[in-house]
Amino acid sequence: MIQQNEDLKLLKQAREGDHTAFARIVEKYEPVVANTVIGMLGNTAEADDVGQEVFIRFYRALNDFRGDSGLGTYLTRIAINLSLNELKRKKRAVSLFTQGQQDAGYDDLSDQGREQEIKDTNEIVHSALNMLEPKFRSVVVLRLIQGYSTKETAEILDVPLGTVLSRLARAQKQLKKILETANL
Amino acid sequence: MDNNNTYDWLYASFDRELTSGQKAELEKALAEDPDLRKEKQDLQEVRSLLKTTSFRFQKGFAGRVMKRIKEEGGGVVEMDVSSQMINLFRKIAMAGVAAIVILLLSIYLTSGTLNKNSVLGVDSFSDDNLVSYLLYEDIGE
Repeated sequence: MIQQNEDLKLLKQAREGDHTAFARIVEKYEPVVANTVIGMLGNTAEADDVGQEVFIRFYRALNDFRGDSGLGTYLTRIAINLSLNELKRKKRAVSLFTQGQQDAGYDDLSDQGREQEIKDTNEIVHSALNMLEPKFRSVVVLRLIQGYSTKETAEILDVPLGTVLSRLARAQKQLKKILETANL
Repeated sequence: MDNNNTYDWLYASFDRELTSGQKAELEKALAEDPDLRKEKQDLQEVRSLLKTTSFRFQKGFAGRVMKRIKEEGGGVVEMDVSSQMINLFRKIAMAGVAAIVILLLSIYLTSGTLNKNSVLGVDSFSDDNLVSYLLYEDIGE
């Protein structure tokens, strides 16, 4: 409740043109957006750009935020949609240059060079997540990393609850295999 | 008991409430099947690994966002068209009401009354000479 009041106060100030208040919102919700965007795209320059774009879009449409959901959930929704768009864009770009090549499956994890890239937990999780299809990755990021309930995850992704539950089950099975291959 | 079912229930048990029957069967299977217990343990480890994962952008992220906002002429907060129209009409309506109140007040202060003649600014108005007023003709000459 206190956090919501603080958010409303910052939003009011930001709407009146107070940049410091908006910068405070960015600082406060950066971890939420980072977990979503980096979880979806990996720790890349594109992820940083998409993260910035999330806040810029929010800034441009500050008056559209009615407060029906929490600010974190609202920003997560923007972040997941922009990340999925970025993944589609990248997929299109890659398919133009690598026609005929198959996407690397999770079985490639044991390939030379790959294991060496895995140095700490975050990198392992990155590598594992990157091997999931975006639709599975998104439920893992929202439910298992961000900690949203299955109902909230369904609302953010705009899919039925049953879809979230089945995707979660399949994603976890795949993740388990991926992480076993990585000898975790 | 269907082995596939117990595995499905195991996965589902982390994210939804199982029925009492499913719960009982799963518990029974867990007590009897070491592979299922191992699966549960692995699953808990995966979930706990993900739960402790936290990503952050490179340092100075907020600064980069604010810089882009300023570069893009960030002083202006965009509103949707309907919100803009509502705000515009609200302002026009309030300005109109304020103007009417001031006008009536000034008439009252100068004439001491708010009857039809004082509001219209004539000494003796009758409907018959309305046309003459509209045609700027002198009344009473």
